Amino acid sequence: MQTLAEFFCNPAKFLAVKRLGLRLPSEAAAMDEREAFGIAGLDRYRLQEELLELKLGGRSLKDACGLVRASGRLPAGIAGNVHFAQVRRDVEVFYKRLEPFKPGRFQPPETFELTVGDFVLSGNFSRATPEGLLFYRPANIKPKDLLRAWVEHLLYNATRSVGEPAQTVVVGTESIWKLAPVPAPQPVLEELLDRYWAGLCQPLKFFPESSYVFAAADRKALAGTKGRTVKAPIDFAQDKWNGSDFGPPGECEDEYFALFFRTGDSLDGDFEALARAVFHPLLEVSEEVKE
Amino acid sequence: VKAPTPFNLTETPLTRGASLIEASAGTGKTYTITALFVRLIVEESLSVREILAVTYTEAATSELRHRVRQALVRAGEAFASGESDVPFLKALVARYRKQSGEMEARLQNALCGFDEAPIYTIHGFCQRTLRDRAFESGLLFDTELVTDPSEFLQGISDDFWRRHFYEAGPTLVNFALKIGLGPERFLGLLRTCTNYPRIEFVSQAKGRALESLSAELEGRYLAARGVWHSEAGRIKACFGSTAKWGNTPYNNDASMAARFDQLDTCFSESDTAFEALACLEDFCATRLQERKAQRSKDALPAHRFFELCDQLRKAEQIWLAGIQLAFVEYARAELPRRKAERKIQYFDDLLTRLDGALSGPGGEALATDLFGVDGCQLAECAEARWHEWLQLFHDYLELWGRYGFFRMFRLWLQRQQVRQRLLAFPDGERRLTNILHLGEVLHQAEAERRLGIAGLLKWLAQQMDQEEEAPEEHQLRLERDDNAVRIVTVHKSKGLEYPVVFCLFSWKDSDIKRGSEELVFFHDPAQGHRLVRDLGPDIADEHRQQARRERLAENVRLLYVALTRAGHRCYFAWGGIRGAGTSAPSWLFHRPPAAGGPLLETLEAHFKSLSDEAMLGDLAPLSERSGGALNISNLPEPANVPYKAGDGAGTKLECRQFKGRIQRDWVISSFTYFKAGLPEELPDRDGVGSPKAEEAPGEGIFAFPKGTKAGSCLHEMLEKLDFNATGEEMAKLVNQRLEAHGLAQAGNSEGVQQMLKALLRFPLAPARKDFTLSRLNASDRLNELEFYFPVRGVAPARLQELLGRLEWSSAVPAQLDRLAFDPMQGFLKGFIDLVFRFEDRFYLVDWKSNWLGNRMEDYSPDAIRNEMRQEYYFIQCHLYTVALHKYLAMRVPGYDYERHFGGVIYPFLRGLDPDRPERGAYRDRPPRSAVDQLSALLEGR
Repeated sequence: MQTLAEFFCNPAKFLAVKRLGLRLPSEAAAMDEREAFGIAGLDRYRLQEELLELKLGGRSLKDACGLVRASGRLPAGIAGNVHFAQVRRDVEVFYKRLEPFKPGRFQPPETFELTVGDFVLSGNFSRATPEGLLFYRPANIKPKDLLRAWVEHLLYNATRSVGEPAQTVVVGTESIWKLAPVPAPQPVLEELLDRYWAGLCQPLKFFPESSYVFAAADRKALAGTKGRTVKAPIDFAQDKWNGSDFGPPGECEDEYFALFFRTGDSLDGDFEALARAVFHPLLEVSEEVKE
Repeated sequence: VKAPTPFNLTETPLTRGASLIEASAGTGKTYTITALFVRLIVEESLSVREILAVTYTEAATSELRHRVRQALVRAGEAFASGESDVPFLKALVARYRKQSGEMEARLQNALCGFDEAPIYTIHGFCQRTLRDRAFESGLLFDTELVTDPSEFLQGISDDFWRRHFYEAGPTLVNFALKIGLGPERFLGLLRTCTNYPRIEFVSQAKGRALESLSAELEGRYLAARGVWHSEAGRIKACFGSTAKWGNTPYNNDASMAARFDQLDTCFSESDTAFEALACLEDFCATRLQERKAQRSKDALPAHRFFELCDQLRKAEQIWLAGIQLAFVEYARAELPRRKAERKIQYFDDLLTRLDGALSGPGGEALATDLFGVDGCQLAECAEARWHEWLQLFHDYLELWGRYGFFRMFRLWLQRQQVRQRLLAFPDGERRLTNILHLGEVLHQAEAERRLGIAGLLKWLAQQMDQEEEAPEEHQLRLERDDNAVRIVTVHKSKGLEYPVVFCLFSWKDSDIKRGSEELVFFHDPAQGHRLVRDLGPDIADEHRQQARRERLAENVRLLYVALTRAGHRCYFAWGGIRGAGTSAPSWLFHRPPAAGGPLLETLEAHFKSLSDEAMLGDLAPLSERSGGALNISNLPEPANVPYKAGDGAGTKLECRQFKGRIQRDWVISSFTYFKAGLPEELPDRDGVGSPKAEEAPGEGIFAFPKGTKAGSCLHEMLEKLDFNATGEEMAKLVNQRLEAHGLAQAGNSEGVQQMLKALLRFPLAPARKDFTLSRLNASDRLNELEFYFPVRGVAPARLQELLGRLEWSSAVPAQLDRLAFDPMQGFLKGFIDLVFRFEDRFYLVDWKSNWLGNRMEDYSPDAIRNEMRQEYYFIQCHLYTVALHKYLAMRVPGYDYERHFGGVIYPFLRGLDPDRPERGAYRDRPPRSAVDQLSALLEGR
């Protein structure tokens, strides 16, 4: 299950690393010689995650300040406390969003094995609540998060008996995604596994961000709810793929995507078909509730 | 200063002192400089070394250098032929017609010495000055020249932050973080200070102590907090869907609930989160006024909380200005102190210093603290640093040995700041490209050939020797893509010329937007046009206007630079572009008729009122007046077909043909090469010997194991053995060596010792009982003498033919016929076991541990002679004799073979009996002619 989810998060990387044994070297960042003057970016996110787990475990975050300070991640002096207070507030706010879904009540992990076509899938569900699966992340929900949830959601559905609650909720800072139960998960899984098998033999033109925006726009276009925009779905994908000089870098700059798709038109018919095949069934059953 | 007079290239006298020539772009500045250069050479008889030319950027420098050289060549030709098409040269030649021969010689001299011409970038000039004065200044050893001061500046801003915020109250820290203050922000301010050393800062915070500003901010915050805590209900009642007075968000319940929540966080006793502080702005009285619903008749809600928020915001802003002023003061005190302490200087400092040096009478500034180390200190310094340098090179060597060349190379580049140093030279890019290129080539060779340090050095030497054409990847690489499309900023293009220029984005406005207040820079006329930055918080309107006007002026200057870069054609795009009202082209082409009120506002309003036709109308006269030089046309429609790279179909792929030649006969060989036809570089050790039927078990040395291992062990003992050693010393050595070789079995030690004792007393010449090893001094012997000499064209047939003619031959024709090594050239290498001097003659000894039998009788002269043949030792004997002969010829003054060469001795260690000197050893002394002939053969003569 994990492998399948990992595959769809970056098929090119999966092929390179798992199949070809080719791992692109990542430059280890040099140790900073200055003390921390603030906490931002990934460090801040990690701290949020950590504090969230403490909070979910029933600990008081007020006491955690000393703990975090001792780990040296916070700036020195009073600024450390001030930064901690800010992160703590972020976590408290997120916790309030999460609370209605009863995050403290995960059931014991449940191991499963499932035969789908020629594949045997195994893994364990560790995020099951009495209502279904619950995912959360103190950040914006990205297509990769959805794909991970989707794979687990399909398998959870496939291993439930009739009538058992099998919806999945993904909570992020800016939106909450709800995936309704899938009545017939087997064919969807078979489709994914076919793509997986193909992806072990050749680089697939599946790029989570670009594929997602394409599929979403494509669905809207099909439903005739295009709205005022006349932009073609593929143009949304192009924007995501190429990025812009003023916004975040494009998905094409991912080093593994760049390795296989540095030249030529990567967003062609294959790309469109694949994006539809993967994301349409997902979008079919999902609903995004924005703040 | 005299009033300016128009400059005339040929007539204006070359007066001593400083002359300023003012010229616009495109008027031929470079041409004028080259002409002046020529005049100085011709008229003042200066040498090229005495004329300094300095310009911006590496590219402009190389261009200038090229042009000056060309001008000198042309002038030389003009004087030689007496005529020229160039008016300037024509006039010059006419004026000096009588001395044309001398002038031509001067120009010729200048060309010969042109490499010395100091045509530099400004940094290159500073660097050069320092290099030239290295010994007077000691700067090379003492003061570090820092091209990138970031780290150093960062230290200052970090320290300021540490001093002011580590122990500040939480309110101040919260506000600092809310504003986004931090070391990075201070660093930006510090850069302004270093870029403009004389800049002045103005602000309302000036003259107020930072402590009082901080206290005021804290006080206002507490006041607002008190009111919120006591009257939150009444404040909240002013907003929401029932409040008709305001626009969003004030009339929206959900938005306001979120804001109240944030206010709670803002004013929480313990849980203030600084990001929430931003919401305070929404409760400022001024902001409420701004967002008032225009059509509503309801009055603005009145509560002192809103006034307090206003005051709090003011206090925050003035505190921000105050802390920035405090930082500037701190940085200005710290900068010189820290530079002195850490003994560093920047290029920018050099400029300031050199300015003083050039304007002063005798370069006194060069002897100030910048250069201020005298000779004695330098000497001490050099001594102390010497070891550091040695250590450094040792480290590099180790790194290379352990991790390979490239890792060492890269560290070296970085640690010795090779890039920075090379790039500071006039031809820095070229030098750096070459160095990097060389590094890559060496790295490739190392990887492909698996070369060690010595191997790679040798390879490099070979490459430098080789006369054939180098492979393409070794050819000189171009450092710049001069023929490619270059995308450069206007600043970078200064002083350069491009054939065709596309000029875009020149429609940038000259505004200073809200939130970019840090950009309010201007030259204050009231202060003698000193550069001033207004830190606010309330920026004076005239300051803002002045700053905007200066921005516009700067934009116009930049546009001027951009438009004058093209050699053949310049494309300039312009039109009714949004936001371009205050841009340079707007001011140039569409100036409003009457300039009343603030310039930029008028300009913007006028620009907005223009239709496309009106704009074209403004431009048309320009085009007309230009006489066809300017053409106005519509922007062509883009083809809208994205570029697609070809898929390469149709190209046939072919295997590359190997056309090189592999030199297979070049080897480093030793005696065994001739014997076995296999290259061998280790010292030869004796084999097991000819197999013989096993006889009665031997005793003593006969019982000692056979084979190469035993041979190596004995050789090692003999190398270490003091020939005058006592019995005890000998026993110790023998036991040690046997132990080391795993041969310490019972009886071996005694047998070997017995043998050694016999050897030391063994007469080396049968006729002389007193000629023994025991009589040799340590200073008369050389152990394991390694030789290594070039040989050329040695083939079996020739060697056979020669050896056949020597006295050995008759006995062993069959042996010789079997020699079957490949013809070779290269080097001959080997180790001579022992060379010693006795009565002024030199002898060559090769120990043989071969086992010929268990009885002394088995080592008869015949048996030994036979063994010498069987094992081809006779070849070895001759080769080694040649080697020693060559060696002695180089080392012994007045060397003569007949007089100095004693002979060759092959002691067969197992058969030595001091009483029977005719047995147990082979002795020979090849005739002089044989040695000469063999030498000649090896040298390919």
